[in-house]
Amino acid sequence: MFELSFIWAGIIAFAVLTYVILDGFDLGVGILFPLADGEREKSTMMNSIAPIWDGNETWLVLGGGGLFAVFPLAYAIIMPALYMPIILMLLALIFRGVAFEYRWRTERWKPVWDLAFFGGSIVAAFMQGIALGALVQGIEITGRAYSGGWWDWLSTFSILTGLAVVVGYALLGATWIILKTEGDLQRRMQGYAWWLGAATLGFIGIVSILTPFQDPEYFNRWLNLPGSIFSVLMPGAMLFAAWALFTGLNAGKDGQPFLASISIFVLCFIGIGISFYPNIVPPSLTIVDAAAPDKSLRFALVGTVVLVPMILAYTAYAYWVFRGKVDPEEGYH
Amino acid sequence: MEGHYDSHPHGAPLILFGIPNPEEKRIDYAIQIPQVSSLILKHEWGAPLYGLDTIPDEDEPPVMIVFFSFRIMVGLGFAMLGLGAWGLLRRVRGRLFEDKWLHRAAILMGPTGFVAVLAGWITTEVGRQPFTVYGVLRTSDSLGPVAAPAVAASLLAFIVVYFFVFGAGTFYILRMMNAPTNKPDPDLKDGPIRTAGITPIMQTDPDSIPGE
Repeated sequence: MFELSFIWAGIIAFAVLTYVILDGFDLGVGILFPLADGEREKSTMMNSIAPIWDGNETWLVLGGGGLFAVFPLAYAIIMPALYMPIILMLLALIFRGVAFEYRWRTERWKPVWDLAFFGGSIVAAFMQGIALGALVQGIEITGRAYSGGWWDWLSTFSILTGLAVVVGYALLGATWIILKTEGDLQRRMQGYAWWLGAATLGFIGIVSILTPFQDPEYFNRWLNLPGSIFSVLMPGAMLFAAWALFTGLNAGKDGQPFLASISIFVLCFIGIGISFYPNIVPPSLTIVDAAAPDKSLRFALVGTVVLVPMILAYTAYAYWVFRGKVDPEEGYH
Repeated sequence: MEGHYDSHPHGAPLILFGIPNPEEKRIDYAIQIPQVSSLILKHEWGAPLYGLDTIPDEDEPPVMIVFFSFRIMVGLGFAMLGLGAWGLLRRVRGRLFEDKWLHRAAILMGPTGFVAVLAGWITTEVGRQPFTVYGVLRTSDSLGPVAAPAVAASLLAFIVVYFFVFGAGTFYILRMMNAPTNKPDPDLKDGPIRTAGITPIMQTDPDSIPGE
């Protein structure tokens, strides 16, 4: 079980999970951006993520680049299959990225860049959700290549997962703002987070019920060992995370709702992992089959073992430097 | 790239300029320095150099594009060297800030770095054709199973978005260049207060909008 391709699958999964959590909350802030009341709240919201958002997107590069290097077959199949959602996500991220810089350069066009920030965030989140849904549905493979059409990713199920991810990211964003701000903005975000939390849990429920219908194999993985251990633990863990979220919100805690939201995401991610394993691209491509030759895996692993702890260390340092509440009076920009 | 259609067993000339003639497989109106190509590529006077005649026609890159893109890159490089030398000369003579023509040339040379990089990139990418991995994988065999309309649409979308985003960015950069420089702010000594990008003007007053 612990051979190179499995270790690598773990590293890629870790990179993707880290990306989902970190970029999830800053995309969420973008999704909630139109709810800001006035220029002061807008700049507070944007400044709460300005120092860290591009660092968060490092993990997308690591996940995508790592997939390309160590699971070339999975990369070659996923990219054509999800071509449209991924391209749309990248275009959305371009708009969102420049909005951080351009917004402060103009008065006339400020609404345009505000819209770019919001639109880019929500489209990127929606497309990521669609990509997830399309992956869960399964991807049509003939031989060693994708053999479906270029609209295969679009289905009721993938739109549902797209909406789920938008709502979930908005929850992460709202709880992040609770952590980083005070006063009126924080109070309103507590209200939004309550509804977003409820909606997120609702989506998790619906998607979980529908997932086994995408492929009966998913059902078996949850009912047989080792998956069945998680089937017993998962509902309890999810209930605990939800309890922590709502009690934290009601008690007006700063950090607890954010940590609880992250836990919900981690649990969902573990759930997806259980459904997929041992496949990397459902329904038929396994981790072992998609992996590059052992020689390449070993070579890439050496660099990764050195670099990932370094990235984690400087990321942690960046968060430490920008800890505490955002002061709207002290303009970053 | 060098434009040698023929092999030169006794040393190849460096072709400075000319117009490639792919049908006749020669360079028309070539201006060349004898033996220098061998010196540059093999570090030896009179070293034999193989031309495109040793490569099958179907494995040849489009000579016209590579020939000119390479010369544009090298030419701009020499122009940059020339501008530097010109500036140094004026500096030594103490007239750096008075020579209007030097200033005009410097402004004209502004975008050439970008152009030279693009020309060099075109040289490598086109020069590699018709292979993606030279000698192993042909470009025509390395296509992904993505439908043509999807590729066309995404290319078009990237062109539109980049023109929009770069257009806006260029506009803001020009406006910042146009704004007068501010007095230094004593607060800046406390450390960076700005976290992304460069802001020469914003730091003194977070609400100021240059040019408005």
